[in-house]
Amino acid sequence: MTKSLFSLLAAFFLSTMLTFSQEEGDRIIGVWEPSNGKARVKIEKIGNKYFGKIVWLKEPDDPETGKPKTDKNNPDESMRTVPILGYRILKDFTYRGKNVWDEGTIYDPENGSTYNCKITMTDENTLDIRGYIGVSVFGRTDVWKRLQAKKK
Amino acid sequence: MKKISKLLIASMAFSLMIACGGPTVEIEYETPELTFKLEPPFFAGPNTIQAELDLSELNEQIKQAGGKPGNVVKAVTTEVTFTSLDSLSSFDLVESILVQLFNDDIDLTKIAGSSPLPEVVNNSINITLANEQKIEKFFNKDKLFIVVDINMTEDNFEDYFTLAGKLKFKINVKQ
Repeated sequence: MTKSLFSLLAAFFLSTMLTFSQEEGDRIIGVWEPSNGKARVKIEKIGNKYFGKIVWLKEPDDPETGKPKTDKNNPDESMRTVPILGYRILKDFTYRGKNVWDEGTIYDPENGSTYNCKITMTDENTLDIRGYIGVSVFGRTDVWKRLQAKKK
Repeated sequence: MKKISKLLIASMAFSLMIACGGPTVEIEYETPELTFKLEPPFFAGPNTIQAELDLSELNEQIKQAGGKPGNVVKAVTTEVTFTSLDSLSSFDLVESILVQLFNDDIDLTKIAGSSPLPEVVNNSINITLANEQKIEKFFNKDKLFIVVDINMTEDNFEDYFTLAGKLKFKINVKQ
């Protein structure tokens, strides 16, 4: 009797912790703006992972062609005609607790490179996005701000 | 000595054939009707909608056909159809659609996409299938997600945008 009550309590505790952790991880969902202000990235959840795609560009057209910007720097030639608008640049992030999402990658369309990436939420409206190769010590951090909905 | 090494190679090849090959059974699998709902507000440009697909029904079908669930060796998408469910879901608001599969352990994989959209017939469209598909791994899981990237032409602040989706797959599974 005591044993089954203990198992029940343990299961309840674990499921509560899991739900709490998932809800905590969902705080990253929203639209964010990198420090250069050139784009806006919408972070969303697919399955249990987090992804971010470009939903707005300050300059949506390529000045050379006058047509919508495409991923012309991608090392994979077949991807160079894919529009930048809608491109998923953040991929496969998992919430680790303590305001950190990691094990994901970030793609920089300006040079066609993909980096390992760790995201830290420093406050509800600020993300430190650290892109790196190999170990996170050797990398660069950009600060993204949450896009606030305008109050009517 | 030469004969022994030939024999060795032949026996290794035979073992490999047994391990990798074996008889398979082919199944036509049609998903139940899946609902894809975009909640307001949403904006012109790229949006994502997704639906979870529980594969227990497929695994039952595999068992009934004499196959072993979890042993899918080949899978190909044969049809992706979306039907608009209400007036707002008119395809007039949609510029392009990209359909992908996802599981937490497997990368997003494209299975179909149309830009611009094909002709709408009876409120439905058939999305063009991707030429190359390596999707068998998805069908050896308990569930998968169907992720639809949809490019909208207008902002919307009040109404839901809802589509019903049906997908068909040809699946080969070990007996």
